Amino acid sequence: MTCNVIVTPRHGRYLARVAELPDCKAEAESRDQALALIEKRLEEFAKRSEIVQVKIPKLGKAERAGKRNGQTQFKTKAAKPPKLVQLPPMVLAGDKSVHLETPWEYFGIFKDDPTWMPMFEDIERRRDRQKIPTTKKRGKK
Amino acid sequence: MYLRDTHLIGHYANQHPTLMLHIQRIEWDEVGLPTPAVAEVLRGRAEFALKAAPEQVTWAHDQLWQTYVLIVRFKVLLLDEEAKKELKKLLRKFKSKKRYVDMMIAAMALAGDHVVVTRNTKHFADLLPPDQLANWIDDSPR
Repeated sequence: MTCNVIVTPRHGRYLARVAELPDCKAEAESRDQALALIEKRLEEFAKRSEIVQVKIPKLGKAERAGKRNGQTQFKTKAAKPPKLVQLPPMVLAGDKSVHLETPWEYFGIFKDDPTWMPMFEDIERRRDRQKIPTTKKRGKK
Repeated sequence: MYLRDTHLIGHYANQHPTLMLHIQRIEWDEVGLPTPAVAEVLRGRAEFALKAAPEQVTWAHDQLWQTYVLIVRFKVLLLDEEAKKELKKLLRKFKSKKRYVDMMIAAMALAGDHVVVTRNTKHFADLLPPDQLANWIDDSPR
């Protein structure tokens, strides 16, 4: 198994993280030490873990019909959220009590989504078209 | 703080390699999303979810949810009163020659002494001094 390890200098030390396993990380004084540590952790992880292949359910009627009609097929996330969800709160930039780690697990999350980058092209076009709003002055009745 | 222009969210979720190199060099708390960018992305996803054909509707709503979950992984910077003052100054200076959302983000950068990270540096070049502009897509880290 080959993994991508991201090594980042941080506060005079080195942080090594496995891109595919966000919880697997190690910090050390030198780059080499950090890499040696992460290698050891990966070995331990590999010893106690197994890779299981899970079958995905068969296509539904509507999805099969879409495929027959030659329409674009869209992937659905394996882990679906529950039906009732509480929106997680946004964290404001001034809030020093919350520390956010780089969300590597979200890096590339929409790379297979055919609508994702075209949406940003549309956002650019809308910026070009938008007129500067003005405050309407009320006339006397 | 580094303020991400909207399309940088796109490149993040599209796994852009140069962007990854830049992100490795900074603390995540130093990166913020300005509320105009949040509004643009959620508007795009929400419109898609509301207009999706029956075959795509569950997928489109799931993508809206996933996008929200991605956004809450960033710190969000509100367009506040100080930024509003800067926005009015920019509007007086440029009249209606500039793009409004660009001016909102530039005003937030001027008010808080932030750096705008964008690929569209030409749109911001006369709104911000060069040290408050960065292109993390076309320029590799030094």
